[in-house]
Amino acid sequence: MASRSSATATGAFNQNLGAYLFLAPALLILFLSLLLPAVATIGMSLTDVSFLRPTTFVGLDNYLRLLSDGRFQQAVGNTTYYTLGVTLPTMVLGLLAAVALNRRFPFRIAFRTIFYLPVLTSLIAAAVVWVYLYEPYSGPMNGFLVSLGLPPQPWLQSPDLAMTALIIMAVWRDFGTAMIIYLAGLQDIPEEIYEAARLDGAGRLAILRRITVPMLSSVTFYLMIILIVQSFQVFGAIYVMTGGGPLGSTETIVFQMYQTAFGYTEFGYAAAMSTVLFFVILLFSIVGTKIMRRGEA
Amino acid sequence: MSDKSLTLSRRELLLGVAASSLALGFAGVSSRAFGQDQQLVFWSQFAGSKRAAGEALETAFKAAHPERNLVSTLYAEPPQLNEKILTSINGNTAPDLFVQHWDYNLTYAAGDRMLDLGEALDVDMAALDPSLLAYGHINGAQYSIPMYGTSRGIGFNRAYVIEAGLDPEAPPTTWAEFRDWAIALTKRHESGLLERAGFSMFHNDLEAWEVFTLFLQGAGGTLLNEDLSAPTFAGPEGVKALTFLHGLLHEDKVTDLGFGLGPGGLASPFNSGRASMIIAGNYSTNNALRAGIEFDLAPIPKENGGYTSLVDPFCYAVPRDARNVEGAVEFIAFALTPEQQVAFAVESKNVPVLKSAQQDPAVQADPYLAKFVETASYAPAEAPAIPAFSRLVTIIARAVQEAMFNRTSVEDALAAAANEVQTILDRG
Repeated sequence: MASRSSATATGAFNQNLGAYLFLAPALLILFLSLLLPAVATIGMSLTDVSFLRPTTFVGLDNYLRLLSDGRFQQAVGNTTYYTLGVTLPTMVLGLLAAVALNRRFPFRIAFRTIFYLPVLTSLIAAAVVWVYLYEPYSGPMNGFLVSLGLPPQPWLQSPDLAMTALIIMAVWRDFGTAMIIYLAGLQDIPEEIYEAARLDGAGRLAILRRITVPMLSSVTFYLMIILIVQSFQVFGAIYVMTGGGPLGSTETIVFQMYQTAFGYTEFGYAAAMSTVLFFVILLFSIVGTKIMRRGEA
Repeated sequence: MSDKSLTLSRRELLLGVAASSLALGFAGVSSRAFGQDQQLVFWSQFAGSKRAAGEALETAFKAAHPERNLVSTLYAEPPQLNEKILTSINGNTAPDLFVQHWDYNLTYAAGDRMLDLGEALDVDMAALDPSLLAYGHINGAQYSIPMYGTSRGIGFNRAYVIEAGLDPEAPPTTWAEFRDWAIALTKRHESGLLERAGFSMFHNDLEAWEVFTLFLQGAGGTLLNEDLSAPTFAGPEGVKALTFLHGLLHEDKVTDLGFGLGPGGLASPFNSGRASMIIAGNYSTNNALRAGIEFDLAPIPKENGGYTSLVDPFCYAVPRDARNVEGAVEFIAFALTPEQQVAFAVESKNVPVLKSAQQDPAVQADPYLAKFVETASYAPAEAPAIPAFSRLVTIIARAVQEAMFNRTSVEDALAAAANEVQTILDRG
């Protein structure tokens, strides 16, 4: 019996050999570009590697240092605030825009294009423009506030406001992606369900709450995971707009990682930060996937 | 000739392609290897206002040394060059020579990856400005040699000074006079909204560190002790300096925190006419003039008379494993000749490291450059030349801002920063 199953397995392997051979180049590239660097980073996090001085094994010292590092804790807090601040409004605005633009009305394609345009602009170019929008004394944002009789705000220069200002910019840039994904999801909902609901006397809000939102739950979870992972890794806008300041109020984990590695040449410590971030993102991804599968089941 | 003789089998074709590829590859490798022997690979950070000066220097070197095949690559920002250098040192693909902001060079030197230019270079070190040279000196060796430096002074708008009834020819000579100027030059609306800052203090970490350090020196203090093993900035002088700055902000209200974009672009408060005084460096001149500001420069006064300043050099360094050390050293020696030093300084408006070039009539003929040369002479001869300098800047800048934003007291902010710096210095 055993030899028969072994022969079957060998036969199956031989039958799939061609497929494995075709997959081999892609697997090799994935191994070299994803798995190997990830494993190397975990290895580096257990050393004091600087690429300039001799490297020594330090065990879990870098991780223990992270626990008592006030700046890292501030970066974790900032990253969490940024992630929540970006993810929720982006999804809500994306859903509302998608629902609005899923109806037939003149220029709806033009509106879709306009809402999606920020996604296509270069992040750095957009960040530079937003720096000027936020200019405290002559920027349009404060011009608008002053026209309402409100005092101008030091958007990017205040430790209390800077991260919120970055979140606003990120939502502006990302909600187009959410809109497109929701639009695709909306088009999968059969029209008959809406018709039946209308015949039963359901209003617009009830349809949105009881049909659209539940039917989009798998899209919502997918989007949420994408946005969380993306927000956890924010770097470019911060590098250009605030440099992590003022008072470290916009310093996120990835920004601090970059600064620790290239600014202070503490690659081992930066690798520990990176490993922590990797596992946090992995955790979110696993939980999200499980919830999504449970929803589908 | 038969048809068969013209037909290639698949096997023959593949063999032919493989053989040709090998032959071409071998030819390429050998010619590249030959070419590399002749090359002098130079990674430059002579960008922005220094670009034309850097290109002229390279052209002059090529003309004077046609036997050296100078291959240069320009990097826009020091961090960008730093990333390249760190990875290249590790991958054994480092250039023969590079010019970089001094603190990065000290980091590379701390890992024993740089050549001691004090030994390798046949140049009279006594002819070079010691305050600039100090930034390349670490562990008893001269690991990098400055090409030029920027110095700091009080940049002011002459039109606003005259408008306020002050004499631009008699700038402040003490902190008290500086404070009077800052108050007189500040303009606020009746609502309290700041229209024009008397003294725009800082817009980022680097500027926060800089303004504190200058006033610390003005109070007679230093950042670190003599052997650079312990912080001294949290002493009475540091407290006095930060208290003075805090007073300017919160009592005299000569500026608001977060007043405008920094640091020195055309939209900055000073260049857009919304600030009367700033801490200015050589780099401030071009943008201020381009913005139509009546720019002028004065030395930074100490508390009770006398002046102080900072210099900030960009330095040449040669990796210990460079392939063309001879060529690299020759380039540095060429760049330090009086002709090249004067030409570079006049074109880029930076302070030359060669003392004789600083006093050259061509340099002195430029009114702004001459004033920056003068302010450079007030910089301390000792430098906080430690590999962890960039971290020191961040820590002190945070402390300054903690106090300025009233998150903590001046004393507590400085004491906490000093503890943090001590930990880093102890770590080595």
